[in-house]
Amino acid sequence: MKENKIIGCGIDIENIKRFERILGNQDYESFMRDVFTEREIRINSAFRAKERFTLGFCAKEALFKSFGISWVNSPITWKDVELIFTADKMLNQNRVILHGFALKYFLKEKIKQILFESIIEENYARFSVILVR
Amino acid sequence: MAEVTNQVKKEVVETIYNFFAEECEVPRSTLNENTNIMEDIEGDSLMFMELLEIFKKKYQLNIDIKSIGKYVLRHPTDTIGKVIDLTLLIIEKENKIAEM
Repeated sequence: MKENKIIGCGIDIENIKRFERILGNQDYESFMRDVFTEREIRINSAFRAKERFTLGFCAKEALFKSFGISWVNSPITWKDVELIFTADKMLNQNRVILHGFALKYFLKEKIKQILFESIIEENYARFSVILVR
Repeated sequence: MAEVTNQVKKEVVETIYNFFAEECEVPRSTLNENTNIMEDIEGDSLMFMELLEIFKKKYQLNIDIKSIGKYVLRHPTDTIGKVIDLTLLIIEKENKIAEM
């Protein structure tokens, strides 16, 4: 029987204040549309937006790192990774959804499971990922 | 798209140096065109995205992240000097940089 094997890990930490500034500035509207899907924008805006958007950004970065690729050296895009909050008025119930190149990569590498943890601590959001084959 | 005049070049250079000095909390005087953004001053991709937004707004640019990604894939942009060059190119060519 084949054993599960960890084939990648990634972590990202961001200061929530940076997203507080971005969310409060209309100049960043196109940034938000470049990075987040319509669904993420709708769900994240409904409750503790700055924390949700910061965690969402961390999730994308952490996934990219675990894959060992980024938007500057592969066709992957920010919107290929979604962090969807599945419960109203909660931060700790969420799931990762892959699209486009991220999904192709997931299938090509025969990844069985993405283990992840999202944490808000004071002014920081942290998202860590482990890829299991 | 905009014409890259000497005035535009000056604005871009000033904006980029001031941005990284403020965001990375380092004295402006310690930065130069060879400063490596990630290794020397701990910059990150969110900073790059924020900087891009500043220029998109300032020069009314039509530029997609994908186009920048395609360009950067062939032309690694790791120093302040290279970010300045890339910004000037984006202002001049917008999405056509993907073909370069």
